[in-house]
Amino acid sequence: HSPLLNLPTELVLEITSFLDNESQLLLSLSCKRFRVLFGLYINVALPQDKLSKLRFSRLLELDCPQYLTCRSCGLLFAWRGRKRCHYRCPCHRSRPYDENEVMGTLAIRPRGIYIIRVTREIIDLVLRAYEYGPAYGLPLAFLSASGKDYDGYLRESEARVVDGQLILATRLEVETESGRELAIMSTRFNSQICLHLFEEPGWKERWPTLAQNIMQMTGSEKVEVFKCSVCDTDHRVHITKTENRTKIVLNVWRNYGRRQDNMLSHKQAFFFGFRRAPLLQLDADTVSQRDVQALFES
Amino acid sequence: MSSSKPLTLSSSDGEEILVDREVAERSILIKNMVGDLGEEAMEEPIPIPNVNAAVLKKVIEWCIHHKHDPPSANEDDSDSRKKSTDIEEWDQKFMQVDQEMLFEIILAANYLDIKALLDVGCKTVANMIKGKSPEEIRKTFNIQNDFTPEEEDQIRRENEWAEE
Repeated sequence: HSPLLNLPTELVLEITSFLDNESQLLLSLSCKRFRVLFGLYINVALPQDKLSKLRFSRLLELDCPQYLTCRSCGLLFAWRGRKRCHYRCPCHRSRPYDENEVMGTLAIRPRGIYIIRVTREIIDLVLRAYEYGPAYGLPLAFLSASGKDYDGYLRESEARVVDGQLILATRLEVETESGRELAIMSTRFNSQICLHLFEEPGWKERWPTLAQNIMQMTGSEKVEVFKCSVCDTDHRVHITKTENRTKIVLNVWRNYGRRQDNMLSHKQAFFFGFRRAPLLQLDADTVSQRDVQALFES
Repeated sequence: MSSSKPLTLSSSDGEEILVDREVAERSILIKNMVGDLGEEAMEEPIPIPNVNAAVLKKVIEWCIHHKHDPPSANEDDSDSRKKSTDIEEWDQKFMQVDQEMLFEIILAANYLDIKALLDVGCKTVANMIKGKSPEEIRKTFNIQNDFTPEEEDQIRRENEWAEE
């Protein structure tokens, strides 16, 4: 017995007059009576603006775990078949560059050479599975791995959900004879750090300056922390120096945020490519007080 | 007007309820009835055959709280009214009843022609629908999914929601 279904048509229409287009459409999908009713009285076509489409798809996807909403085109796509494309929607080929975000690369090879590009879709799938169950996406373990890469350097990554936010911690450990630090940092570290850093003024001097500091190091240990001022990514370089060898550990903590945040893909702070608009800088106090590592470990 | 005699309403289950005329006339149905039949006829209880005592008392409670509200805005003003589902705090609390009662109130407001109460009721239901997937809507309102898998497929194809 459903009191809503038993209402006379005029009152159902009275209620639905308070609903936006996408909610009307979702209601019409609940049963035949509403489907027919809406077909007769209301235009239930999906509105063409992206945000409405997105809101609609994000609600509809809860009933069909095999589909995921693309934040770029607002449509649903069957995500399991998209593994080779890092689970990106088929529309990604025609997206503007600044919507084609890749938010960090995991150069880890659990089995053979396999590089995971952490796309927005992967973030959504991990968070959705965490919230609704395994059928809805990828397990947290998808982003976790550890092992030696093709150069024999130790790499680790682990993902956690803290307070609804997905945080990925990656670690790269290199050991080298003294004098080769700069060569290694400038070739191996760049693929691990936040992409926004490349656009910061003075970026080019970062590794050379650090290498010089290592040369002049008096103690045996040194820690340097640098934070991205555009997205929630913190970095820490930990240097241990013995007589003629140097061990450098690069830790990166990325907070990808909550599932409901930043609905439209171009509103994402994490992206890669040519941009039409300058990046929005976070508030300096917020950045200095931020501690993604502490959040990850909490 | 407040000095005029109270009216007696007789619910569908035979209970008689005394109501100030000013309060009762929030209902356009009752107001017109009083106008048509004259005050003398109001000595007798007014039958409200479609509304039981529990619901009628609830509706009267709402009318008492809102008796000083200005008469509802022009009907043609519907565009601005339709968009907002904001409900004032007292009304929100008032509507925290089980679903059976909520829909009874909507039906009674419609029958008694109390536009503002009908709006509050409909907005409450609209807010229960908003932000839900079809399956969540079914669960909330105890609706059976009567689509066959073939029909569901067809709906999906018709609407091009999905990239295939």
